Amino acid sequence: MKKFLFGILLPLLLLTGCWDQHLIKDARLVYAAALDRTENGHVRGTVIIRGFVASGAESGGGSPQNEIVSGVGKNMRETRMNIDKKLSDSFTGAKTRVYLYSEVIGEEGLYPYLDIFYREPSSSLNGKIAITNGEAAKYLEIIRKGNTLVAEYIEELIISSEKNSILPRLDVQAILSKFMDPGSDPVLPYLVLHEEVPEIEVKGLALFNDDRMTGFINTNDATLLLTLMNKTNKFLRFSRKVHVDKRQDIENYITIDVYKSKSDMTLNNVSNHSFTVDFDVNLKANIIEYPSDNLGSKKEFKKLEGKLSTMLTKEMNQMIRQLQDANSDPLGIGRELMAFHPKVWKNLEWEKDYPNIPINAKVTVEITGNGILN
Amino acid sequence: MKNKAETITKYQLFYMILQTQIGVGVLGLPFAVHQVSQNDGWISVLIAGFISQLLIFIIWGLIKKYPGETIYGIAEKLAGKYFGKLISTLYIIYGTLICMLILDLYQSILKLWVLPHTPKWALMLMMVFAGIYIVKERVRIIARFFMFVTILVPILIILTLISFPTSVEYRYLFPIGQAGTLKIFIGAHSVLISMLGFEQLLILSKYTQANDRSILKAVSLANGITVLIYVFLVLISFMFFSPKEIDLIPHPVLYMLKAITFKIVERIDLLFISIWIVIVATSFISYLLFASKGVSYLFKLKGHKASAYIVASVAFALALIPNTKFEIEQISTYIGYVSYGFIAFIPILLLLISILKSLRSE
Repeated sequence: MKKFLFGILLPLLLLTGCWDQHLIKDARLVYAAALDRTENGHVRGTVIIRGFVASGAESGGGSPQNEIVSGVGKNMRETRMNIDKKLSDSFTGAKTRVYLYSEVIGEEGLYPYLDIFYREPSSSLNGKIAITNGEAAKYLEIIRKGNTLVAEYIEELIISSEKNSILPRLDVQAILSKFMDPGSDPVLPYLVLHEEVPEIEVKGLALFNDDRMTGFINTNDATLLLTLMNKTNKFLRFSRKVHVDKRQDIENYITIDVYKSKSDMTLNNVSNHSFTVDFDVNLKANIIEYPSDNLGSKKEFKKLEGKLSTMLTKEMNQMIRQLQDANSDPLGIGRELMAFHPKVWKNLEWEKDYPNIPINAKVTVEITGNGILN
Repeated sequence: MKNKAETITKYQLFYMILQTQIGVGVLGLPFAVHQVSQNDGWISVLIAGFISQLLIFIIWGLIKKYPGETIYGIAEKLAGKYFGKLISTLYIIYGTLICMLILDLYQSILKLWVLPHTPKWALMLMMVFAGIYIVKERVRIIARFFMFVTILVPILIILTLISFPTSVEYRYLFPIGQAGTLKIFIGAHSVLISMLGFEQLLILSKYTQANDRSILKAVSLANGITVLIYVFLVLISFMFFSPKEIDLIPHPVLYMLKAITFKIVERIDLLFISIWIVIVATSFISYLLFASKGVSYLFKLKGHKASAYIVASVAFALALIPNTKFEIEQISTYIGYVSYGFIAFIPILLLLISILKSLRSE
């Protein structure tokens, strides 16, 4: 009896893997995907697939090679199936590092183009996502930038901008929450292609209202926005013109490195139908470039602090104005209202009222160090 | 009668109850409770924990009067031969149904997330074989296995913690009480199904070598820890997903882990599922044991080895019936309601009878 059971059990356990095996040798790994809309409203997908070309018989490994394939379909899945038809093995999206969407798609609404990734368990939701100025496929056609293949190039470009507090740290999954939240909106990296070089540049942040792109802010404002959102990363640096009268123009500038940044949002004067928002931003910074020198006295510090504070306050408020013009709420003011003043939230028509809310930011810069040179 | 290999310590009792309580529900709990009590779901978990604690008191009140008896023996003593047998049969059916439900939920999640092409009978068969393999042993050995795999529970928590999402939005939890008291209480019902497992005390008390108080302590501690783990998972999920989003995601805990990548491990969700399978297996084993002990009692069999084969086969056959996820959901809802009879109604009834009896004899 025991032997009999064993005879049935063992093959069963060994067999179970057969139904669901995915062999890496049969997979064509997609590293980057660019989505465009054709003139008749279909989806054109362009993907970068990584292959290896054996460089020499003995050396082993071989050098990675990019292959670019595109296909058209009525929706994402059909596009993908059409791309698959052109591939020798099966399309595998589990390793995609970068998703690029053209501005046209962004303006139409992004969510329908993402559903496929959210729905499939094997898709890679930790890939980076960006909106491109112009056709997205063109960005992948660069193929390689120096020694780097284009998928890594774009990914590293985004990651380094994240480190420099130009872009918020986000992936495909993180933006779903914002799409679904009436009280806050996502922002996505906005890329520009310089075709003649060729080079890709992080141009700033695309602003969204739910899943529709409604505007964009430049990198300078993007950093201010991240400061306001408390989403700054490793480096937060500001270079500003603080003098006008120096011998050389370069001497008029100062660069500070912010090592501590804190932004507090408060809702004030809350009545049934109105309220005001105040942001109190405190920055603690060290001076990292200042050719004018003479930083020996406390007075000089105070003067610089005052200048920078007013300057940043002004810029901050201009940036907020841009957000309101785009009817985009990445700061989550709506969420704050829903959480702590639910009655006011119910009384308001957020889509209509948000652009007219008085929002005020005040920046205080405190300089605490000046490097090893006075 | 007290065969040493058939006894467990109070610690082992704690592990057995804990492992039975934490089961299939872990993955879907935040979703299930959010359907009803929205972002106040964590309050529902606390309420459910409180209710299950009350039920533990009732069950404990019942079993402490009959040390050395399982619910099957107690039922016969209190309700007479025929009614007792009826109650025992009902409990056996209940145990078998839960086995079936666990099998169905387990295979549907595994199929959805990892093995879409593997037929469900193969997935269930693996679980059934593993279950039988352990259940056919003596209670002490089963308990040791439970104790051993409890190390996986902290691993599960640590896995969630190290991958703790960088962007949590605590404001999703406010305003507290937005769902309204009624909905929070109804939400507690969907949590209670995930809390099931403490009724194992109905059979395990017989094998536990400890005084009444330490039994109560062990079970309450298990219940308390279950509540803590559930509150933790629910809170994390609620802060990670926006309220509308979570209504679209049936397995939020897994979904959350899916986005995180380490240098070596790409998909933490698969790692989590592998551990979760063991935790599901322990719940399955518990109910298999529960029903098998009953079958053995009814048919006066020695040991529960033969009964385990029978119960497992029946559960497996039943589990093959539902096909779509809607059918499984429906069965799960029905069993949810029916379970109140077994964790509340019958124990309370028996407790009342026993109190009446002892009053009369005085």
